[in-house]
Amino acid sequence: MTKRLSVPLAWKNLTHNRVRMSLFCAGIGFAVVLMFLQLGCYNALLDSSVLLIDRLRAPLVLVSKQQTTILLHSPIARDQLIRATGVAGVASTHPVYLEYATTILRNANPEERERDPAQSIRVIGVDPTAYLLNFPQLDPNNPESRTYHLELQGRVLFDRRSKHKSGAPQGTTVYGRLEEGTQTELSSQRIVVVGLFELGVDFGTDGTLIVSTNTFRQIVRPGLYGPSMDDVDIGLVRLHPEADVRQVQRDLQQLFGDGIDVLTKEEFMEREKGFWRRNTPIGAVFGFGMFMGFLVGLVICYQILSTDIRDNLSAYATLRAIGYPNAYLTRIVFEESVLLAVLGFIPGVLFSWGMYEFLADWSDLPLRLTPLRLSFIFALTLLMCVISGILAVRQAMQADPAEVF
Amino acid sequence: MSAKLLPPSGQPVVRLTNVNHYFGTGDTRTHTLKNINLEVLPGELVILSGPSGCGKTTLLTLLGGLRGLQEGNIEIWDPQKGEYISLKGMAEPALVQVRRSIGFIFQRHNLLESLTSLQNVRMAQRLLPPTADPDGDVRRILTYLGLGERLEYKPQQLSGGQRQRVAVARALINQPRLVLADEPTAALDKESSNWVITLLGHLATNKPVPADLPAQQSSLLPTLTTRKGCTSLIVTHDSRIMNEADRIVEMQFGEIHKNVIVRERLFLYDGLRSLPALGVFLPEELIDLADAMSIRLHPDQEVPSEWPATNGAVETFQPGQTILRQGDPVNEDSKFYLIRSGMVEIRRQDSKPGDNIPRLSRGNAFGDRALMKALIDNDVPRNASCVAVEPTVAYSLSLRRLRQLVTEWGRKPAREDKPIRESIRKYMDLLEKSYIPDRSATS
Repeated sequence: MTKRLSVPLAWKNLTHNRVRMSLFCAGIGFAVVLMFLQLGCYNALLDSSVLLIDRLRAPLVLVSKQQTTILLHSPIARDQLIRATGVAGVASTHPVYLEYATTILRNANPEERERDPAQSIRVIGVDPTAYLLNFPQLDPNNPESRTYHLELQGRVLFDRRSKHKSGAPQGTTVYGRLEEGTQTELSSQRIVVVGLFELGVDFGTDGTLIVSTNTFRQIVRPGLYGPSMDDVDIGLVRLHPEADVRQVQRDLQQLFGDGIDVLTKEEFMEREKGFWRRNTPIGAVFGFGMFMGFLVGLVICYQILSTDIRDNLSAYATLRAIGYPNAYLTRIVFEESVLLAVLGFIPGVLFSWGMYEFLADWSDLPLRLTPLRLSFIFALTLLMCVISGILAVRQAMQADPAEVF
Repeated sequence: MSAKLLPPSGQPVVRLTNVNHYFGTGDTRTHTLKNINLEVLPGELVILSGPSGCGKTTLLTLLGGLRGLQEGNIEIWDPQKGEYISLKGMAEPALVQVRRSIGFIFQRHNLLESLTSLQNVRMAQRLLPPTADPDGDVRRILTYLGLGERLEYKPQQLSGGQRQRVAVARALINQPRLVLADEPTAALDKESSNWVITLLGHLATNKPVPADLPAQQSSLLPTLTTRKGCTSLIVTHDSRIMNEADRIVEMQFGEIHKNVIVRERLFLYDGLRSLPALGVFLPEELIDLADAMSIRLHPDQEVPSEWPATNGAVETFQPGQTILRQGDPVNEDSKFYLIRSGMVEIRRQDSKPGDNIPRLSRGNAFGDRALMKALIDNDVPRNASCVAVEPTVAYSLSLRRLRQLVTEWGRKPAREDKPIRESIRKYMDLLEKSYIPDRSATS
């Protein structure tokens, strides 16, 4: 059977004037970039809060129920980790110690005049031989491994993505230029940098050191006052290969009752993000920013569609006159709005990707273009253009076929 | 051709009954169309003429279902249903279907600027079920219209005339039953205008291909006009189309001022022009006379018994029936006749055996001289008898109507220099004295 010859009218309408088409794409792309930047910054701030959690190498974690965020010290007793080992499926448990406030790192700049005042740094204490954090420097099988170096007293790994010192050369942090072999002081005690790893900054941290539990005990928690090594900030639970994570989680939760939360890594990350969402205005600020981007895009898209319809009004009236139903005109306007969404999204993504790279480098925040976020912004762009189409389609309906003669 | 594609014989394809249309409301309300009654037969090419603002375009938009009908009724023959459908109160989806069956040609062509010539025509083509070779059809009609080299051109790359031809192709690609056109040849040169007119004509009826049509157009024409019976209503001032028209509907102030069957007018005009007794009348007066006698029917068509002749009249006579009798006085109801079909014999009482008895047939008139003399003298008798020798149908006009027309002409500027009755008197005197050769047989 012979097929009807198709005419991609919406595509032709949009593309027959290349200059105008480029302006259309730029307009929609601008809105896409606005939304991407707002979403990117919003997520970067939230992502940064879970950078450390993301590196934990264990399917389950034990944290205090009172702990609202890992920035605040709310430990669990080390004995609880030992109890956990009695639960079926649990292979081992490991403590992770964190200190944010009392650990002061002396600036490592050899020039005294350029040396900034010492400032606090996050210190993570782990068993360096257990490969508890996902860094090559802690992987015993990796050539970059510094596992055995760390076991020595006073040896540290320094986060090379610690806060960059404004105006300083590449690689200079607010703690000075720390490289392998650099010697400085942590809480007035001598330390030696034995390696560099890459993590990043977050709300409460300008930089991070990783030390062994022994070094942590010696420098951070000597036991004279304050929390002791019995106060574990995060308990990592490793399971036997055949163990059912959910079942073990339920068993552990039953064991500990209300005092301790047994969470998967993903739940822990979500809990941490939830804290920042609830307790800071970042959600509202960047949500509003994203809404404004959406609104700007809506107006731009509406203007584009309106202009296009106005320019083609006599043609639309002609289509109605020769026998096309209103539904066809509606379809054309919606096809145009979807095409605008796609055509504006592509340059918008490319430009946003460049902006993410630039901003991530400049701010040290983890701006990431994940498939989920791409899909989310594309859905918003589509929604934005379709709403514009709904608003604009009324104009197309005003095309009076009686006026074409 | 299927019987349902066209209405029953003699029935119109479009019928307008008491159509009124208004624009505006309150004090600004304007009566744009006033009591329009019109019937258009299948295959007719009808010209709508008249001054700007007389309602031609409004009439086209109502016929095309582009505007809501306010008063009266418009019926269009639906070939699919095999019955008339009324546009009165028709819902939008049904109107859409009606519009699809019509070919619209707009003066401003209204092409889609983003599409090529091919695609613009396809936009109309894809509204209906596909033919065996839809792409070939589009290429052929554009090539016929001289756009074979411009198939992929967009409107902005085309001249005004080329755009207009694309619009014509868009309207005619589906070989519609009805074409509504507004100045379809206004932007065209003589040659392409001729192509369009020929195409419209061949969509209407089987006609011989004009000798002056180029070979390419001649070869394509049959493939583009496989369906016949297309009716066209065209608003135009182009005399080239006027010459091809079957009917001219002249509108004035929202009313149909004249509804002229062109062939009938020409038939009557030719018949009247050959009468020496009417030689005193100017050509435009003879056209008025022809229109007054017209019954709005093609002269080759048989007059149905129930034919509602308006303005003019036809009378039917049986063989042996005396139509005029010698010596009868001429009064205001007396008539003269122009034979539409059949044959009559002229008999005089003073004729001798062996004299040739004149016979008159189609296109000849009789009784005219007595009426002309009666315009200026009283008590004029008929000077011969007239008897039908075959079943005869004749147009007729009474002395009363002729007198009315003469009075109207007398008021016109062309007759201001000399009273028309004086002109008629002098002319008839000359005719009586045989200074003017008398080609008619009777009076």
